[in-house]
This record gives sequence, structure tokens and C-alpha cells, in this order.
Amino acid sequence: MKGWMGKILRVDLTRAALHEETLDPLAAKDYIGGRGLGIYFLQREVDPLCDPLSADNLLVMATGPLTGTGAPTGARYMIMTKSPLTGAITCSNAGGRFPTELKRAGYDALIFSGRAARPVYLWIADGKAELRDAAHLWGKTTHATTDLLRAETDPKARVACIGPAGERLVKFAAVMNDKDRAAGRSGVGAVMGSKNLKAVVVRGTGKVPLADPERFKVYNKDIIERFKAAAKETPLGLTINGTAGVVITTQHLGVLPTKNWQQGTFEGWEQIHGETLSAKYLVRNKACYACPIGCGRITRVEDPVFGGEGEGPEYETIYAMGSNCMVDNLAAVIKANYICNEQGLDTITMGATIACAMELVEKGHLEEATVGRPLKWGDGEALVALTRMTAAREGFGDRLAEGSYRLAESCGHPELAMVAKKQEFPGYEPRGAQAMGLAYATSPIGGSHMRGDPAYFELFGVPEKVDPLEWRGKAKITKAFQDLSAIIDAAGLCIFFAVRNLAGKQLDVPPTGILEYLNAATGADYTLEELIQAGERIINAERQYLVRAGFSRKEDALPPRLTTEPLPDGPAKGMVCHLDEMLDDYYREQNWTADGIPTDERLAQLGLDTEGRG
Amino acid sequence: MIVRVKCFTGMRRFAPADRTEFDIEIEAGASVARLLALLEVPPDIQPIVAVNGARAETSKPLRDGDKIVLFTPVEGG
Ligand code: SF4
Repeated sequence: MKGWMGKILRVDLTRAALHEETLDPLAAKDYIGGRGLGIYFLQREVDPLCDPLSADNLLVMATGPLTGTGAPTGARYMIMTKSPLTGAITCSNAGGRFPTELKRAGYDALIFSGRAARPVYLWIADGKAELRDAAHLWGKTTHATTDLLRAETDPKARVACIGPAGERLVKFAAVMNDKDRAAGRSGVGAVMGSKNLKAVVVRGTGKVPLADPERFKVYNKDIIERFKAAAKETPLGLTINGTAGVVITTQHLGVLPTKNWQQGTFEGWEQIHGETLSAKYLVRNKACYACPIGCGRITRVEDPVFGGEGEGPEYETIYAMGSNCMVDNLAAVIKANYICNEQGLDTITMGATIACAMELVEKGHLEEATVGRPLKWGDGEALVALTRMTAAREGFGDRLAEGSYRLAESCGHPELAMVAKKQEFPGYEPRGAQAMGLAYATSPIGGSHMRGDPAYFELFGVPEKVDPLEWRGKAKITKAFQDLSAIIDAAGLCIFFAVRNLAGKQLDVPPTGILEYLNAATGADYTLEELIQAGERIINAERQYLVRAGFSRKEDALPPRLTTEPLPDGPAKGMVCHLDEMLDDYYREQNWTADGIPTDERLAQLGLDTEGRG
Repeated sequence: MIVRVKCFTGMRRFAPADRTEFDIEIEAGASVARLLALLEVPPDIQPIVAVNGARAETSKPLRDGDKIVLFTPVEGG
């Protein structure tokens, strides 16, 4: 096989047994890789009703056929498993260098099953793999773990690992690779911790074989030249200010979630904006493998209380820990971000859970005595202290470690958790960006925009501007973006490059550029229809997995705040999110029943059986 | 009349050298569109405009002392 390495490594942690398996070429073509391969294996091998933190769950780490090929942003891998936060699936992906190294070591994917009796790590060097004792690493931060593992294996090795939060099964623990890149969401780190798997360490010196290197090279050159020319004309915001530059847009469109989503604008926005970040704290930009954008931020904060050095923050962190907690001290947000990276925590859920706790205190549903400290809006010190306590499950941190839904429910007010399927939202207010609400509600992982990002057409005007306040006609575009994101995730690309540069300029965003790259890399001769269908197949296989886990329309829901309380401020003042109306349209577009179940006819069109397997 | 303009992101380059926030003199009753023309913003660049904190169309007439924010949207996540 070309593009794909054609090999999967199975790691049975219970028996400490490893074996290599050939990647089925038909499955590879139908599911592409990454996210697609993840659902392919979950569908076959994981009981949708199993306990996510039991030995019955699988942890799949899968790269895409474009990972490591040199295609721009072809740097990513996907972690898929059943989520302890949501009970649905995870789709947590990350870039950096680890995924490319894994392919260069000879594998498309790693599949972990069972549970090790004692802490272990997996060491892979160019197709040779072994499980090693990790007792000496247990309790160590992600940074210390990475340094120690490189010292005892190979200084050039790449590491993906969990921190103390994953060991303690914090429901939103992340898997960190290359120290600061996070497969952050839905508790993939807790699943890794439950398996007693501390880290995966890889050294690969091979090359990813290409089916038609000449065709690949010519196309790649053209794409990069066009990208560079455009960036010269209009310097790229993502390069200049990172994702933190989004603050100005969301603030002025009234969709910057503030005060646990009680407002859509934040008075202190300028203090947490990307330009402030660049001016005060930026050391340099950082790029993932083969990325011409370089949105990563290496930062340093000189401050007696919040000082430190590390990577971040991203926009999502700034919303969750900044405006959402009304913290306008960017240094405090950065400090909490560093702690999340080192302890292995998802910054979105962490910030959103603290914001939820702040509202529970404000409304009198939670005593500060229970929290063990004052907890008022805007308290940066509380943000940092509670983040630390969560990673350690210390005191009130033990309750925060369960995420906002379980916290709010235990206080008798689950409606104050700003979640879909028990996962906290990213930073775009659906009352002022209607399709965003539909995307949150229908995402297979719950509150997420990365599985089909309507911010592109509603807020950023890509490929064209669509009125963010209008809900009619949004179902069709949202579905198209979800299908596109499934393809991007499966191919191993980054959405920040792919949406603008490798998809068509119409609202149905055909994946034309990805098609060319995939065919040159794999020789699999995808037609455009086949590729679009592969995206739809992934979405439907995921959906049917959720159906088998007991999910249906009633879980495709948003908190009542977003659907019944008019937004009190900003340009979207007076709006609610028209989710129900959009859902009816959306299910029709998908050819799912009115209850959100894929019809047998739809599954059959995609070559899937009634269980969603194919 | 005099209005205060603040440029962010892609609009920075239309601000006078080294200044992101500046006062500019413009005829009474001029619209946002007139301000953009004065700053020599080509018509294919359509910034997001906020006047005194509220989003505004380019047809909006300005008043003395208005605070105007100009930027082009930047993606991320
Ligand atoms: S745009 Fe950012 S996240 Fe995406 S590949 Fe480049 S550096 Fe990584």
C-alpha cells in the first residue's frame, strides 16, 4: 500500500502481548484513516454499552494517509474510544510531530485493548515494539515524562502521554504529545489512565511511500505557492495572533460566551485578545509538521503569581478560562493553561466547569465553604488554584474532575451546565450563530465545533458569508461541513488549512484538493463522489454507534438557556437558538428518521449494515 | 468632525504608520463607507465595523466623537 503504511499494531495490555496486523485495503479506502478507521474498529470491537473506563474499551490511535507525507498540515492523528465524559465516542485529534513519527515507524494505527496490571509504556522503534515498565513515571507531569522517556529511549523519540489527571481518571483528561499538543477532549486521557498506559514513545526513520511522487510533488508545489502568494497579499491572522485572534470577531459579533453563557460580549475582551497575547507574552510561533501556518504560540509570563513558560493559549482556552469566567487577566489564563498542559487536562472543559461552579455559587446552589475558597466571577487566582486541585482530585477538585454536567446535577441544577451530550461547548454562542447550535447538538462527541465548523461560514465568511442570525437553510450547509470535516479528520489534515485551501469555494465545500492529494499519495483512485461518500459513511457509522449506545434526538439537545432565554446583549441581543426547527431539516438532509436514527436505506447506500458496520 | 478609529488584524495596514488608534477629521455626517474611502481601503476588502461597540453597516452615518473599530475576521478554534 502507498500513503497508508498498511500495518496496524495491536497491543493487548492485559496479556502484555503485541501483534502486527495488515490494514485491510478495502477498509482503508472506505474509511480513509484517522477518524474513519477509529469508528471502523469501535463499531466492530467495542460494545456501545460498555463502561468506558473498563478493560472492555479500546483505545485507537490512528493517523491518516496524508499524515507524514509532506502535504501541508498532514501532521495529525486521531484518538478514538468510548468517552467517559459523554458515553458517546471521542474524536480527539492533535498535530505536532508524534503522528508523523508513528507513520515513519511503520504504523497507520495502534489499537490498545484490555488493561495492564501495572503502569506501562509502549516503545516503538522502526517497526519493533515492546511494552516497558512505567512505575517510575507514574505521577509525573507530561513534560517530565517526555524528558525522562527521551532520555531512556532515544533523544529524537516523540512522546504521547498522560499526566497525573489521566492517571486519576479525571473525566476530561487529555493525551498530550510533543509536550504541549493536546488530544484534549472527551477524556481520552482517562481511558489511557484506566488502562495503566502512561505513554507511547516512537522513533521512526522510514518514509511514507507515495503512489505517484511526481504528481504529488507538482500538486503540492502549486498549492504551497498559491498559499504563500495569498499570505503575502493578506498576512494570515492565524500566523500573526494564533487562534487567540478570534476574540475580536466573536466579541464584535456578540458570540463570545461570557459569565457561563449569560452574556455574548465581554467588557474585558481587549485584555484577553490575541493582539495583547502577541504584544505581552509571545516568545515565538510554533508550527506542526509540514504546516505553513504555524498557529502555535510559545509564551512566557513574568509575573510573581502567574509566571511561567510554555505553549498557548488557544482561543478556546481564552474563552473558557477568560470571558466565560470573566477573568480579564490574561496571565492567569495562561498560567491555568500551562497547568492543564503539564497535568494533562482539557482546557475547554476545565474552564467551562469552573465557570459553571462560579454561577452555582452566584445563584446560591453551591456554598463557598464546600468549594473551600471564595469563588467570584473574574477571580484569576481561583481559576489557577482550582485547575491544580482538579488535576490532583484534591478537595473540591474531585467534584470539578467530573465535568460541569455532573457538578451542576449534583447541586440540583443540571441546566446550568453549558453542554451537549455532557461535553462543554467551545467558544461560539449559538444564539448569535445559529448553525453552531445545530453543530453542537448533532456532533457525535457533544459540545464541539471541530466536527463540522459553522464558524467558517457564519463568522469568518468562508467560503462565503451567511447570516449568522438566520436559522433557515442552515441544516444543509452544516451537514456539508460535517462531511468535509470527517474527510479532513480521516485524511490526517488540519482544518485550518484544509477548509480554505483544499475544498471548493461553494457552500457544499466539495473536497477537491484533498481528493488530488489522496489519489497522488495512495493511488486508490477515489472519485469525488466516493470521497464525499466516505465522509458520509464515517458520519453515519458514528451515528449508528451512538444509536446503539442509546442516543437519539433527545440527546441532540442544548441547555434551555440557549433555546429559551433571549441573549441579553450585543449584536445578537434578543435571539434564541432555533434548534428544534433546524433539527427537523437536518435529519431530513441526512435521511435519518425524525428521531435522528439513520434509516436502513441510508445505511445501505453507504455500504453499512443495520448496526452501522461496513 | 473628528472620530476615533481603531484598526485590528487585516485593517492595521490602513492605519497611519505605527498607530493602531488614531483620530481622523472627516466631514460632518459622513458614513462609514466614506471613512473607509478616506483610509484608502480597496472595495474588495470588507471589514467588520463596530461603532461605539455596536456592529454597524457601512452606510451608517457617523457623528462627532464616535469610536470606530475596524477588523477583518480571523479564524481559529
Ligand atoms: S494550523 Fe496550527 S494546529 Fe494546524 S497544523 Fe498548523 S500549527 Fe498545527
